[in-house]
Amino acid sequence: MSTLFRIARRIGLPAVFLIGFFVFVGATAPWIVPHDPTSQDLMASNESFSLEHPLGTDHLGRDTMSRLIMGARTTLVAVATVILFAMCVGGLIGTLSGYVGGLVDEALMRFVDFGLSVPSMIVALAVIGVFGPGYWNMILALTIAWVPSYARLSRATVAATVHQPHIESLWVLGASHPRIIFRHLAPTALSAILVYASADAGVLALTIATLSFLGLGVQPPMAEWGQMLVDALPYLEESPRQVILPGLALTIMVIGFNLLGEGLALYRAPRAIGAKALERRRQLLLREGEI
Amino acid sequence: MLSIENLSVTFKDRASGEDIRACDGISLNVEAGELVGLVGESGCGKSTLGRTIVGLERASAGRVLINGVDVLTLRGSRRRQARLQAQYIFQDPYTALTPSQTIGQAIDEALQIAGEHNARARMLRARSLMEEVGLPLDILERQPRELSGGQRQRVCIARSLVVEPKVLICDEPVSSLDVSIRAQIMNLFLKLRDEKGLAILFIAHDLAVVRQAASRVYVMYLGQIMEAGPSASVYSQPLHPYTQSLLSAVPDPDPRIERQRRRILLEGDVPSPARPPSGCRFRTRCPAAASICASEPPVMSIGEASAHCHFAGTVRLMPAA
Repeated sequence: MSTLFRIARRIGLPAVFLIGFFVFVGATAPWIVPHDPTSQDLMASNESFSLEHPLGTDHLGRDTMSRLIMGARTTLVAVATVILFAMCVGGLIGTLSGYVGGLVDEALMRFVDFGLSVPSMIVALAVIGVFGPGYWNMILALTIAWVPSYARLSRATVAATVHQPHIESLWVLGASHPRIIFRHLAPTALSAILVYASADAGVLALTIATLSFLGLGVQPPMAEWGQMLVDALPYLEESPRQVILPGLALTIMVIGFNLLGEGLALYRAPRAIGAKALERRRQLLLREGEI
Repeated sequence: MLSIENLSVTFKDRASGEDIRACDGISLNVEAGELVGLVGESGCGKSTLGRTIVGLERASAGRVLINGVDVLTLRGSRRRQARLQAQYIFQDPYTALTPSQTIGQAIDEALQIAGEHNARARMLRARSLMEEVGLPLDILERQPRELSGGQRQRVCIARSLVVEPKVLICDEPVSSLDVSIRAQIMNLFLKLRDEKGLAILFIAHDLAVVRQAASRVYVMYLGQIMEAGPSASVYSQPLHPYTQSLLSAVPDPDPRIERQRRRILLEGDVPSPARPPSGCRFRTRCPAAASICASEPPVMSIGEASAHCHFAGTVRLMPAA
């Protein structure tokens, strides 16, 4: 059994396969879509399942399956971008805050407290209100809204590590501040953040859909699940398929991210060693002649 | 080699805003090739003193001379160079090594920090260091969690030797180890002292540990040195009442003597270093305290063995029956 599969099994196969599926679909989207997700065919609007359109069409005759696939890509790219930016900015603020301590720590953390005390959706709405709706403005808004929690988390990790002897001993050996921060503290903070981020990605995907649903995020004609929902709303009674499908996709993705986050958190936690592993280890030691 | 003059270290208590003087006007010195003990109860400031020497805490007053250079007055890279002459061995070897690094990587990083750019030279140096502290070479491939406490402490010692220090501050380096391992690690320190001429300041809360190894002993209480002198005289004829009470707590290996042994029991607790007693620091718990002890701080008597007490040498506490 390959190591990769063992790791996947420990994290949880459902989570890995769900997110793996979405990532695969998102990455290959432009090549696997059966139709151009933006091309309209008003003669074939609101069609149900068919061979030509496996999941039907929307009110403008666009292929639903293609739009779902492109929507996965849009969502994943947005989620990844926001998490990447928020992790870098938040991680840096948190690491500095925890490392420098004192007044700098106090000042930065009061900003973070302010950010955390306002619901992130409100922060995002406020930023979009200032800069206007649009894809990149949504990314900016969500990044600003998400930075405080990452900053707080990495600050806590760093503050707990910085006075440990293994970090202090580096200082005694003459290590520079950048070496201690970037080679030792930041990686520790990052691994803690990653677990949080993977569980958090679901919330983020939901927020992106919400903003797009409200017309503040992804703009037409770009395919996105929240937009598909709002487009389909007037036809809810005659063609519930159009609401159910993107809703289902979003739900499954959020569940996938939540499972992944939980699996990663458990993966990092220490656990009792199983009988099989214990026997394997004993055999290894026997072969090396140590017992 | 290591000389500390009137060193004070003050912390601010976050909650009350009071100044806590962890070290208050401490002077001591350690010569090259000498192992000196620094003993005292938990919280007396002995670790703070050690940490200040290597730059982990900030001194509020005084001088720290390493090899004749005052580390505290220097800035930047010159300060770094000066303080590298003193290395620190942590009490707990389990947390002193980065868990995710192999021993080889940890020593390699220390060599990189020290400015060795040649990877092959680093590898050779790592191997010779392992030999020096008595570890087999395959340890370099291991993770810290695979090693025993004694092996980890040897690794920490090897890593501190990377910068070729002149002074080694050992903060209770054997107290977290098995008793059977302690002697081995102590012997390693003695070997380094003799072969490299290291000046070793050995911090311990236990007088018995340093009895054999240290040529001189400093006894600390509440941020000040209470007694200093050659081990032989401090152990056989302690001048300060505090030292006398500490020594009375050391068990005797002979059960017949041990059964009859009487301890000097001190009353009360150690006062807060934020509000130390007037005059002599020890007076609140000293059975021999007189009125002068509250009004005037004692001066250190001068001589081979010296004590920070008005009645140094004349007082002899009798164990309670």
